[in-house]
Amino acid sequence: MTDTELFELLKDISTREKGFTVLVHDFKERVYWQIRHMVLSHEDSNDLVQEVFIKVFQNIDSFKGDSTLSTWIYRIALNHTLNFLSSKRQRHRFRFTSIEDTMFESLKSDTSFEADEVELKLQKAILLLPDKQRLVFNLRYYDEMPFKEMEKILETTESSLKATYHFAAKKIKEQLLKEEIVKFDFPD
Amino acid sequence: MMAKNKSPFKVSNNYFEDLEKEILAKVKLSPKKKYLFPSNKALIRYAAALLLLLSVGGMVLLIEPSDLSDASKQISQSQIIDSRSQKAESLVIDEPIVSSNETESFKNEIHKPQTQIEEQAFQELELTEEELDYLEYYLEMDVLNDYLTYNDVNL
Repeated sequence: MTDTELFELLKDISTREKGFTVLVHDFKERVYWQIRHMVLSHEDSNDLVQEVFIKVFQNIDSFKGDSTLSTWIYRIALNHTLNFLSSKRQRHRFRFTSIEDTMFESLKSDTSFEADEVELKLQKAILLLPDKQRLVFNLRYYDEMPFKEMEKILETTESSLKATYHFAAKKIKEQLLKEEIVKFDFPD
Repeated sequence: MMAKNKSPFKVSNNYFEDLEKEILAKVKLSPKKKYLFPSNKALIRYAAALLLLLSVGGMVLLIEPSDLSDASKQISQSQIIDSRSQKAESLVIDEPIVSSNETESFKNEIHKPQTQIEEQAFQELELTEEELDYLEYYLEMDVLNDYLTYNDVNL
């Protein structure tokens, strides 16, 4: 089903439920992985993905079709994730350890995270990036999202996104070098 | 099940099927948001209009009493000014006692002594501090004018 057909189903109240079932079926995985790469914990991701779809359902009338449905959903998901991380950081500010350290420690003990030493160090390096840089890097590196699509979701210029991604990749490489991992390639 | 690319994160095999069911169940339970206003922009517009009305109303209420008191003050002040000006009119001397041309020639007479003796005397003329104070007093208080007027002194 195309975006337009799905939008038609969602607009009509009589077919809205059917449309929403299709929407959840089509987008749940991608939304989940986008959130998971940002928050790392499966439990948090599970809660957030549900909240995102409830938000989408509740605000379906405000969607005017200015962008594609997928762009709108991913934008909601990413904003919701960034807000979650921001409030988590706020709650964490009076603790002795940084939020990145806490996230990394819980990642190491996470049974749903299966990684070798290099991957673990890569995650540690990604965690050191600011949230928005991390978001751009994850969308490009893990989801292989084209910059054109990213531009629509994040409402930033393509050149700015490319610069952000390359800057993030450079920082990660430097961090990996410190960890004595010399060879690590990133896609352009 | 793994993420699309190189991802070390994993979920159980039936996770996404369960997730879908869970989301749909929650959505059915969650009440749909009913907005009083169709969008945030409309809400902001209504709020701004209401705020403007309230502020204008408030300003009118605050300014009105003070305006009235100001007006009454202005009336009483203008009455005082009128009465003062009427009194002043009766005291005004239309023609100056000495015309500007006359004062000019008078100055010239003083500042341009004609003989050498007069010039020397003029240069030697020095006023004491007391005399200066006295002169200053006369000039400042218009006493000199009064004296000249009331004693019929012709310069």
